[in-house]
Amino acid sequence: MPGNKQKRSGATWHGKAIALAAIVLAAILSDLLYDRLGQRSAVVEASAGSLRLDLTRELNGKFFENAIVCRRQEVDAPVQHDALYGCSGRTHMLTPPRNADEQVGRENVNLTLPAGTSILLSARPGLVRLSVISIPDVYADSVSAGLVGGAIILDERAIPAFGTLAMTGRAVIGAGQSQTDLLAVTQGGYQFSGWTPTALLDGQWRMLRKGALLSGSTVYFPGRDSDAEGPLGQPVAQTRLTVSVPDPATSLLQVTAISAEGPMALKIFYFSTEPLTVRPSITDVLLADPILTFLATLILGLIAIYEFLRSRD
Amino acid sequence: MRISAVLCLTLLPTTLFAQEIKLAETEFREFVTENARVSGDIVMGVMLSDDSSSPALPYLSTANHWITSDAETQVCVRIVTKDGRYEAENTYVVPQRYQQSSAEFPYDGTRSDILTREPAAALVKIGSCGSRDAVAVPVLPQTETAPELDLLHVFINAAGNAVDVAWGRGRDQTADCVDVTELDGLKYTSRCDVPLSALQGAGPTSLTFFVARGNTEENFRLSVLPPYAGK
Repeated sequence: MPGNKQKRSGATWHGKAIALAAIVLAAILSDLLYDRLGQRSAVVEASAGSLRLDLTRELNGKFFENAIVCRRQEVDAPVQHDALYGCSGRTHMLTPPRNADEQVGRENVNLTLPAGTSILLSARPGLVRLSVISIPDVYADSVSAGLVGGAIILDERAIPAFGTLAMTGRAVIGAGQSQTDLLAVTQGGYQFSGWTPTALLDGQWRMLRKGALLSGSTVYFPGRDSDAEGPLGQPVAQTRLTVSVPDPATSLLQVTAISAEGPMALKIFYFSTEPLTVRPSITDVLLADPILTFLATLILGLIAIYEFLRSRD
Repeated sequence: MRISAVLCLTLLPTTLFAQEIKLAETEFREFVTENARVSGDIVMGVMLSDDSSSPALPYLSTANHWITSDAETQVCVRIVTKDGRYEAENTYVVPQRYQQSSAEFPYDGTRSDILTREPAAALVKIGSCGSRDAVAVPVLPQTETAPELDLLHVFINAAGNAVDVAWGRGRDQTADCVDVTELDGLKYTSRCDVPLSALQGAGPTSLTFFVARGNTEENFRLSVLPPYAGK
């Protein structure tokens, strides 16, 4: 009967539509769930001229050789009206020279800064500067407090001994749009790794997504906690960082930032734009899984063979 | 701070005249753009309050020294949001011998909604807009609760560099400014807090700002009249 055939056809169409809608809905929900709950980690590797950081753990015992130190003056010291190395002579003073023929002195510094200290690392050719912006009030009488408003300054003589500076804190890599004397990220990349279904068998995380950072960007891991307030007015997640200066000529900071494990994302900010949020999707997770990829390839191959054989019949 | 539809100048409480402060031009000049530009100006605000946004309706008042002039006086009023997406800059004309307890600068713009939600700084200077040597007059918001008038806040476009401010030559007349740089901020990066006791002279006080830039330092001066209003 034509009528029954039409009804069956309509019912089949509705069934397919509902199945398709359910698949789309499941895909959207699973991606949202993965965004909120999926365990993953991100690594950013960038060359930059600026790094702003609020320490969440103490920076303890980083040695700087032949550094020029700009530290707060004693109250009764004579007021100077120069600003060599950008160190204000009215409130701060540079390491005093040991010889009359030296313009500034140098000293070896074993730097300790308490958690909660806000610092700015900046670089220009032949000069790397670690500026201390603020420290927690409870450390106001400590030795570290003398560096507030001052800096550890490394010139061409001191940069080769920079080594690696390891820190933990809430970090923004690259200068913000109003920091026009500083450099943003000049080049770099990011990589997300995380859990895929095969991790149930071997416990291994796999690379989920990677990409490049374009010149002029400012990047950070956004924080989801309500108390994740970080530098430059943004909620920033805690980050582990290593900083080195591989090329003393350019003095650009080579920054490697590793996020905590969790539902991490990456914010990339370009001049006068809304920040771009980057994270792996659930599709990236499925495509990165070796067993799922193998099974999908196998099933599709079997279907293709089956269809081929059926067409011959 | 929310900049309201009205800017208010507190004047010498002398004879009242029914005179109005008017725009020097026919149109209120305000700009809203998604592609804000980095400002070349250094001082972006001279205020007796901070720059935080507020749903309250504030009025801004300033000192009065130019108002006793026998001639019309031009006053430049500039408002910028911290992110630079809103700017208003208008020259007003204060009539000669203008003498009232308060003077209102009419806001004829249409985007006060932006000013209710974005941090903003206001700058009032004697003279027409574009004059770099003009004397600044502290802006005072008159909110529902009277602000504590202890500090003058000067908002500086220092490109993220450290800034000192000096109102004399002694160490006790110098202060570090506060870094207020934000990732989406554009117009000012530092807030210099000057005790109002430093502005107690009859005429303008000269403030010197020192911006540390790499290997050197840039300095510039700003003349500020003492605030009259509020106390």
